[in-house]
Amino acid sequence: MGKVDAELTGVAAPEGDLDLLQAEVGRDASPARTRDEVASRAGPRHSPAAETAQILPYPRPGTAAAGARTVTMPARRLVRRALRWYLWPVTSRMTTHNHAVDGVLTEQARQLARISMELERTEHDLELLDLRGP
Amino acid sequence: VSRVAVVVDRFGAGMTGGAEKLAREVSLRLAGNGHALTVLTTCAEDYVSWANVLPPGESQDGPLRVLRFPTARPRDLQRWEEAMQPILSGRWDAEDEDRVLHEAGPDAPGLLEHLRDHGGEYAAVILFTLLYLPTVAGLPLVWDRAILVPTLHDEIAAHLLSHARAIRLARTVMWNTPEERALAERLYDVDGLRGVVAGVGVEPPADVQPDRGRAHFGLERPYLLYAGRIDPDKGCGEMIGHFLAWAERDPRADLVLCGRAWMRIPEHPRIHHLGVVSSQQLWHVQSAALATVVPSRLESLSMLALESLACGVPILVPTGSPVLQGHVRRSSAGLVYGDAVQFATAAALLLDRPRTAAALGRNGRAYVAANFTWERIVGLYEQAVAQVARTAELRRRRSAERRAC
Repeated sequence: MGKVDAELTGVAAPEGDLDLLQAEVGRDASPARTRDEVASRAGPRHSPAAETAQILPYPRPGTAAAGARTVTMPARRLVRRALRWYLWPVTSRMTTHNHAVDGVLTEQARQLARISMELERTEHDLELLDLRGP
Repeated sequence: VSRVAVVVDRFGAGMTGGAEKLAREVSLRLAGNGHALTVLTTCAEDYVSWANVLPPGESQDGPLRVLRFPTARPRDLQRWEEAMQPILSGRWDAEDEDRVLHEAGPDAPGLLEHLRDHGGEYAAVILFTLLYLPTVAGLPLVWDRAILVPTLHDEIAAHLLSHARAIRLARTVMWNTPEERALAERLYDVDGLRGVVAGVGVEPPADVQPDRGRAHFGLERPYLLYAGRIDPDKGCGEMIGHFLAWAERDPRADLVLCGRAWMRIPEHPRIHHLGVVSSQQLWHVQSAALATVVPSRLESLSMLALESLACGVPILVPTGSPVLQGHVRRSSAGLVYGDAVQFATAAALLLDRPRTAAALGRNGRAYVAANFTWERIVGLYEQAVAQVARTAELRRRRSAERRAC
């Protein structure tokens, strides 16, 4: 069997003018679905930094010792509420920064996984090239 | 003549599913060309549970030697859904990928063991459908002789890096359309993926008669046709909604639905649900349609569109499906609609201008005849088999030489 065309070919001389017909129907009233460019690419998307990215201006619930909590609770609550107004802007900036770092780490992890895959493939290609010789 | 293996999740004459049908057709035709074909598959009949129904071991399907391997366990849909959660939430790692692949199955360890122990005995191994475990886990075991038929479409499960690895490791890839390859290049972040655009052969029987379809089902008025699984996931809800909106204003045409319903079909005097129709009858019904509506956006090829074009019937396709819009662009045999108004305009245009509709139909026939003949498709598979067989044989010989040294 001879060489076969490896791509699909369009109709060489179609009857009628499809563009005109399509213009009568209308064009792209509802656009095709689009996804965020990075999110639409395959590969793991996770970094452990996501777990600790959020910084709060008060201790996380359950971090104080139980005994101390009951005795000092009213005072602690007073101080915490007073400080919160000053600390919120600082901690929210830290959280934003941490999320940005997490995003970079996640993308780097994805890229590393991808590069590792490409390395595996390149090794195979080289092995086959080596077989063929000069 | 060479020994060729075909790996597919399910196999049999009556199996539903485009990839499974394609696998069987290609296998039979390659066997007809003199190759010794072995099909490696599971004992499952359905892709939801992967329950072992067919007997394990060796059997014969015409010229094909079939080796069936039992699945280790049926699919647990709850565990699979739980495993999918990290993927759906957009945050997952390699362990999550591994878990979701095993939960999706079919987990047939014997099949993978066979590939590991005997894969080298085949000159080429053709693996069908990227998304399932036998392909993802099996392809790296026979990478030097692997021909992949991904049948890929844009769904969240395709976003796993394991799929990218399989596509990259395959020696050649048989794409269904250029749009499928473009999707893989975007999804897997690579330019210039190797492979050829093959597709599937679409050859209507010689005795297709529109009148027989009309007479058999009592279809006297012009109609739009949909055939396949009647399912909201296939865009059928939207299609029926568009039709009903049009039907309120224009009484001239009906909607005919063929296939099993997985949703409630509205009771309407102009919607005719014919149920599951034999292949021969479907050709008759299809050839008598005003147009075929192909409402699904998730397609890697669309047999419905190609069979319709082969009958000389134009297609109506939604925006947002690059594959279907690609068929329309290359064939000049269909119209694209974005909403109910455009759907109505396109259908009315075909009714108002029968000569234009006939011209679109002729374009469609020419498109299918140029691209989707079994002669062309099998020719491409033959070339791929010959290409990987050469490389694999070279590697086998060199390994033998090294062992001898």
